[in-house]
Amino acid sequence: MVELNNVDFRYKRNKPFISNLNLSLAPGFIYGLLGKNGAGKSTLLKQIAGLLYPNSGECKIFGFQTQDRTPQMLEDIYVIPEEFDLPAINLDSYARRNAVFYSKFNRDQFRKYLAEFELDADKKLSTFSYGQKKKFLIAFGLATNARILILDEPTNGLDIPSKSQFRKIVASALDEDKMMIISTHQVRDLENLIDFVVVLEDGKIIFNRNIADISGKMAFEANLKGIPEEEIIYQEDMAGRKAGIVENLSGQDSRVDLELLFNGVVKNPQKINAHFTK
Amino acid sequence: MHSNSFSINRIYHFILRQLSLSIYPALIAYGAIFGVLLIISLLTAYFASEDIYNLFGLYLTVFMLGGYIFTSRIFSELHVPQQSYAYLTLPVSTSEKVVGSWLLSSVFYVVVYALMMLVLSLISGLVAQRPDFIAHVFGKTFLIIIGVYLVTQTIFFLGAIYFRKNNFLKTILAMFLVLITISAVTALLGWLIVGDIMNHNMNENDLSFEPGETVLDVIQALFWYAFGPFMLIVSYFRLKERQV
Repeated sequence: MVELNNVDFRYKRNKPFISNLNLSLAPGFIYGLLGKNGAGKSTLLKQIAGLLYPNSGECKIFGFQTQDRTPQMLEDIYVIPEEFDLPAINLDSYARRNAVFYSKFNRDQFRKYLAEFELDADKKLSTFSYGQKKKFLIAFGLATNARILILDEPTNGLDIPSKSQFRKIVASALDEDKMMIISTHQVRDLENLIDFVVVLEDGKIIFNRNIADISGKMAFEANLKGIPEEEIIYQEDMAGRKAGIVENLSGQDSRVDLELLFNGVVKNPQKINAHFTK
Repeated sequence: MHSNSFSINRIYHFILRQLSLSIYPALIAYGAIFGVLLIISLLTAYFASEDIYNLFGLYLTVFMLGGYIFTSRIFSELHVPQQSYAYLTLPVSTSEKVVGSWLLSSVFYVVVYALMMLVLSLISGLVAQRPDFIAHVFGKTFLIIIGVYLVTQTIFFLGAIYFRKNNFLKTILAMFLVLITISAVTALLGWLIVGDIMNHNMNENDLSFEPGETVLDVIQALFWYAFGPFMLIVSYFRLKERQV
């Protein structure tokens, strides 16, 4: 369980970056953390990982204060940042020297993930491309069996086959004890993967909904032609036509277009949120 | 010895991890130092065998300087944004990281360098045909120097955590500034306390001051037993407060 209660954080004095943020994330789900550049996504992830401390309020994971950074807490959290640097040692040495700190590390799982990502265990990490290094970190992170896996822009640098491998592996690795928090701009890469959409804007959570709720209440239309105005929740111009979010009156779950949803939430969060309280 | 936040086993694995990450640069550095010292030692032993005892001073200078530089880099992973996340989220407590890093920069460094000195003094002694050279190198002076190193390297240890770049030079600068400040304050206090007396006609004997044995004992005890642990405790809190 991740709990942030009344968290305030600022990088500069008298300039709050996150104000009074409350967030509760439960295991068993994949959370998609979306937001514009500078919205506070990475800052929030760092708070959760204990890499930044709140100026006030508290941030807890599984009952541990994140800023205590105890080994027991850190065993249950693995961070894959957007920018990273791996040492010039071979993949197997790195895994051997780091896996020992994670009591739930599973070598068989690790080998399986490496094989799925087509990574050679005897190669030096420094000879890998950025995408290969990222796949290595994802494989290692999943094999730690940490209950919280934080991925910042995980699909950046991955080629097209690797992206689908990533979705497949991540979906199969989730169980009821684990949660994954994925921050990304590549929203299309997360479709059919995430369970919750969390949108952050100016250091505030402006949207936090389950995908099932979203697809039950909203329908995403590539062309709004012929749809009555009163059913339209959000619309935007798209190559000579209007696409948008409409009320889901069919009673059947619709396919969620994360890009449209994100745009709609950022442009008019009140209207989108109000639709869920009807 | 094992608790939630302090485990000898974790420290052992942490040391192995740190060594594996820095093994290649460390080997290159040690190799280069050894090579240079070996050439100087051989040349001295061959061409001026009577001066061989002067090599001991060189070995000690390199020992202290190399140790301070090595210590200054012991937390380098912490200061690279692309690496610091992995260091800070590694399931090892702050106290274990401090103890592990200190062992590496003190005990490990001293043992490796002592082995290097053993080989160097053995070869030089043989070439110069002065078998007593080893005994000269590994005498009481060396033990005292090791003790001084173990105390003073903690300053660079704190500097390694505190400063993000150019840790070695910034630590030296900080030490210089602290010493200047202490000297200035001491001089000012001295002037305030005895300034009036100094203005009167006094001969040199009146001004002589010899600190009592107790004062020197206290200063020595503070240096040998309190200074190092104090710097390590400050380092611990500095690392604990460290954010990315």
